[in-house]
Amino acid sequence: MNEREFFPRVKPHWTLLYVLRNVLGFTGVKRGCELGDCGSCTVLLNGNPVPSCLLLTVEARDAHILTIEGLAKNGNLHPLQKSFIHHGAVQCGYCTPGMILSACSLIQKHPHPAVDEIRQALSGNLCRCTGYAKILQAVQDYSSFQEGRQEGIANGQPPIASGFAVVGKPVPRKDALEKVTGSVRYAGDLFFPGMLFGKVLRSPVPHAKILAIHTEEARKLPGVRAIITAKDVPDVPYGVSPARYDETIFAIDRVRYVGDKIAAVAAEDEETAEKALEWIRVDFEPLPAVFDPFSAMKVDAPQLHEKYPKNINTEIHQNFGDVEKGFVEADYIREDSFEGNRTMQSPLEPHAAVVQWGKDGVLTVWTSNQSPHYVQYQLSRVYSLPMGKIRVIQTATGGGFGGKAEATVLELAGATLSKLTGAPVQMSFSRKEMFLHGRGRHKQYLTFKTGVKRDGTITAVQETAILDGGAYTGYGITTAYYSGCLMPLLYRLKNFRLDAYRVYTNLPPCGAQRGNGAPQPRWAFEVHLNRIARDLGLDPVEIRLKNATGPYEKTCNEFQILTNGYKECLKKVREISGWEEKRSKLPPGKGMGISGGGFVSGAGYPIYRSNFPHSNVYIKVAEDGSSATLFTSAPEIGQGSTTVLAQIAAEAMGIRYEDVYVQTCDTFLTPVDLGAYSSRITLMTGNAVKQAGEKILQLLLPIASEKLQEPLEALAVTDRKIFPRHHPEKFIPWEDAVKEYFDRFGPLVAEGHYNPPKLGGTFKGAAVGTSPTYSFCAIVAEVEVNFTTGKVKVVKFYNAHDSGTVINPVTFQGQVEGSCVMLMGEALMEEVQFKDGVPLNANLRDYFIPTIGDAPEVVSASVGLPDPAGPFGAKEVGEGSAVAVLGAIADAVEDAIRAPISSLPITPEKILLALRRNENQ
Amino acid sequence: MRVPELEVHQPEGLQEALELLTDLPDSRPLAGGTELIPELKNQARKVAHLISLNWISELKGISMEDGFLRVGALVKQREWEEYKEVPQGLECLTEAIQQIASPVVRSIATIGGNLTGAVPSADIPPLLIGFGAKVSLVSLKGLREVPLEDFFTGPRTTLLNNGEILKEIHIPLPSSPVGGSYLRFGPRAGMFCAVAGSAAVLKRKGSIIASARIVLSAVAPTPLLAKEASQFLAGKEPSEKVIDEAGNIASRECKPITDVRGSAEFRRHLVKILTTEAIKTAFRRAGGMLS
Repeated sequence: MNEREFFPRVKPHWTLLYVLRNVLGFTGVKRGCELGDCGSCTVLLNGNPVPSCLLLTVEARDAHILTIEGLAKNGNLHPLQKSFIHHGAVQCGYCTPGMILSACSLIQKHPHPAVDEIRQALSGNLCRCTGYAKILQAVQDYSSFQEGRQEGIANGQPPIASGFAVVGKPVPRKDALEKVTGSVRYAGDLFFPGMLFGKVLRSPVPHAKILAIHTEEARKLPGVRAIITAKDVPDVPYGVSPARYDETIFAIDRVRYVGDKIAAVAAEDEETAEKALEWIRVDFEPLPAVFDPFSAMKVDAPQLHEKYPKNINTEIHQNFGDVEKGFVEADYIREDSFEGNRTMQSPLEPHAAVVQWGKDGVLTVWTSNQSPHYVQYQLSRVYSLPMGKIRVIQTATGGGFGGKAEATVLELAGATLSKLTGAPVQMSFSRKEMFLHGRGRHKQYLTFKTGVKRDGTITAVQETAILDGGAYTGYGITTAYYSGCLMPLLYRLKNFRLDAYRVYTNLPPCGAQRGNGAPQPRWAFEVHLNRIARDLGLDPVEIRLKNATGPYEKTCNEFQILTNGYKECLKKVREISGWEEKRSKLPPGKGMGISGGGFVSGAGYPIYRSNFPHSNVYIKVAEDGSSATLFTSAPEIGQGSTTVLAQIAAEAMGIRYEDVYVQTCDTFLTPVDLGAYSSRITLMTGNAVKQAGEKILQLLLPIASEKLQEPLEALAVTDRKIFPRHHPEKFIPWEDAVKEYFDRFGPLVAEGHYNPPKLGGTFKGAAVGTSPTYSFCAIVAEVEVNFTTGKVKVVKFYNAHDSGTVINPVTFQGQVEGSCVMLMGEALMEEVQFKDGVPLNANLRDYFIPTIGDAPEVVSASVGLPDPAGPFGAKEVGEGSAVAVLGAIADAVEDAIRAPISSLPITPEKILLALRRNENQ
Repeated sequence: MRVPELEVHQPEGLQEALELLTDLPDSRPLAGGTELIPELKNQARKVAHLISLNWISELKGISMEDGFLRVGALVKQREWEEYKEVPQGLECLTEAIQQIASPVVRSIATIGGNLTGAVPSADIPPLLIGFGAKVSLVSLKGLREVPLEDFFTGPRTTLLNNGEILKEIHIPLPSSPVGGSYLRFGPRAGMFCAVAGSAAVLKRKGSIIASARIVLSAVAPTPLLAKEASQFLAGKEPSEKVIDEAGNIASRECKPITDVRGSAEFRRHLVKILTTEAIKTAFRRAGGMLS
């Protein structure tokens, strides 16, 4: 293997994946699904890509194996690795080793592959982050990086932000090198001496009383070190929103869904832990169960939580203006109902954590997580430990999309397992468990009633949303608010009413998935609006422009908009998509559709009540001035935050991007940050970083002023030089000033922090949806519908996004492309299906996320103006585009088939049904 | 996810493999393992001994003999894809294989495994049945040869007795103008099990379909030779109407179920359209002209 010989001791039933990772330590081989469906564990066996999870190791004896660790030779990266870095084809990095190895096998056989050959060769390697566009580019262009050639083809669009040295440049990601070489460590890649492996026993039944749990047999298995149930752990309820802490580490006396947690085992190896689970017997007394919110709200329905009659977990009634009056003023009123789908984030990396309760009393947790702070907070609450005695370290994280934004049973049960055994315990989910753990997108049942004037001016909107919440709350309260609160962001709604209900059912709990509750209502409303436009003979772009909000407006629900490029987004996509020639003018079966989008650029309020700044950082400059390290708890989960923050730091300090190192997420080293959710890092942590960088300069400049004999105000700093603005040739090197500072004052350190201003109104729920500023977006989708099979193919996306100043055009595009393709999956093919509460497709074979063959071209444009609230004018990009995708596709489908489609996903069967209805009419 | 503890045997001769399979209780042959290993991990199956066939040279290789293409059961799907001497007329089989799972999986999955797995949605059987392939089955008792269309007895079950393995597949070399086509449907571009599939293998005589075999996948407990549709086409000129009617007949003949991948009704619909398309492509490939 990798041109060395290995003689591992191997049991016959061990897979190659297990031996490579757990015995030999080649953790660049990734564990994604373990059933051959995802490609993350791909290695080359005698030159061919193989799924190491399906090969027994003994069957690979005498073979030549190449893992990602063996691809770079003598310290030189393989051209593919260089190309992946250059083109931004790496985000979370979890699919990267397998992707590169599949590509490597292809180019060994076909040095000049055509695009279709690349698509075919990579069709077994799933990626959830990139939307595949940059991966395709990277493989096409690998030969530019062959020996003797250094530069690839020009990347991305030209820098958008002008007047900056580092901001706006397509610099390569900070973490790309360790991701293309497989040296990066995710939580499941950590192995410590004496480490144990923990597994969780989950309920096989949807609703039942637990009469008894028999663990005696399981305890007798050699290698089992601890088995815990509800009686062994604190019974403190936890969750996300303090008003709804309704979950305990293990179910107490009652399970509420298939997958509810009953017990956990720690054993010396993973297979023993799994085997022990099979030996635990649980006696249940079945209870009636309920699987949809409408049945659940009936008076005689089985109750999941006694505190919430009719299973109504939360209800929201917001009324702005006078809706009834608005309808009276309307010339035309239309009402439409829609049914969304239950989908899953499905990052390629399953959740994992290593937990060690140290003998010194410190609880250390390495976790793959989007919000280490909330993990620390819940551990502190549940175990009554001071925050300062809990050290949460976020390892590299293989994608999140909202699914890893809270404490889970991995950290919470892992703590007790570690305490009881005195050993570090590695905990991880299988792919199936990710589905059982849930926290994916809520299925929403939506009704919109809208009144308009003849010219399209909206006079009133009334929305009802019913959310299937599953068995617990998690982020669900915020989701319920997001089902409506962002509706007034894009259009001037003077009269708006929202009635929303989040309802408990005996299904896996739903949570916050990319865009939180916003994508489905946005889809429904945008389709509804296009139907109104059709009824009135108006162009969809025109009806949007007519009603669009503008800059520096306040919405009816008291959100303060600052910069607002929504109208520019609409005009831009109209222009680049050829809208006027194509909309409703394409031959039958082809269609073009539009939707608006946009999102908060960081939630205005934290999840639990607190007053401290949301983002806090400090910068420590190396004593010789050659580098600076940024300490931040902003989690890099693949979205590129570390890179963007390093660019902001470099810009603020006047040094180069290469000079900045970033230490992320170790609560003993880095100050509090709320985490990677609500698209908050670029703006919030970015502001904190900019402030810290500017403070560094404030400390340095007096020294430079003294040396240069120039007044402070006259000085400028860029590219590591400090100089008088009018005499740039007369400069002193940045590092000289730093050395001088260190000699005189000691360490050169500065902090920065950001707390959003007080935002929003005073009505109930006014906080949700507030943000220092908002992103805006418009997407046009072009689709082809096969009238005989009903299959929809998205041909192209045109995206215009107002993200303010774009800090990095490559990561910007990466977020847009990733949003488009992920939500395209949700629009067309993704849905978790159940029978009597048992998931039927809890795997990546029958839960379909898009492959490289499905990914269309994404033409993306940036139209933003610098926003006063953001660092160097920047706003979010990761969710605002996601919000617009469902609507654009659904509208395009309606344009193509000339029939309404009101439910997701838009499957071939639904298309055929709609066509048949059309014929019958 | 673990593979439960078991023994793996790696005999290098066929005789030894058959003896192991006969002698060891709860034993099962292991080929590519791309179906079997997930079944073991999901605990859908329990096995004490795996007899690996991957080290037995008698089960490998592709050769031409007596008008037959002989394909060893252990030939990897990728090997077939990269095989340079695929006989004329059988290129459609390469197309079918290229649609299976993913290139990564096809590196280890075998041609024989796609048959013995007996998954109703398997993509290789329809065309092979269409071409009238036979399979040779070997056990300590000897060798027997059966038409592939008789090989499948139900979902994941075949004629194979305990101690018996699939040795070789014999595909008659297409002689007279013959054309084949296999089409299948799924929700994304790749990496899916067929919701429905249809293969057409046609012999042409002038402008007439001399004989036809329509074989369906994922719409019955086994790959299904649509006999009525096949007979209907024989001796007919493939007009739009005839092809359409053949599709209707095939659609009536299939016995689909509703599951997570699609409804029975949708599958019947797919059979009709896939079959008509497959017939057209196959006839063109046989050198025929469609009106």
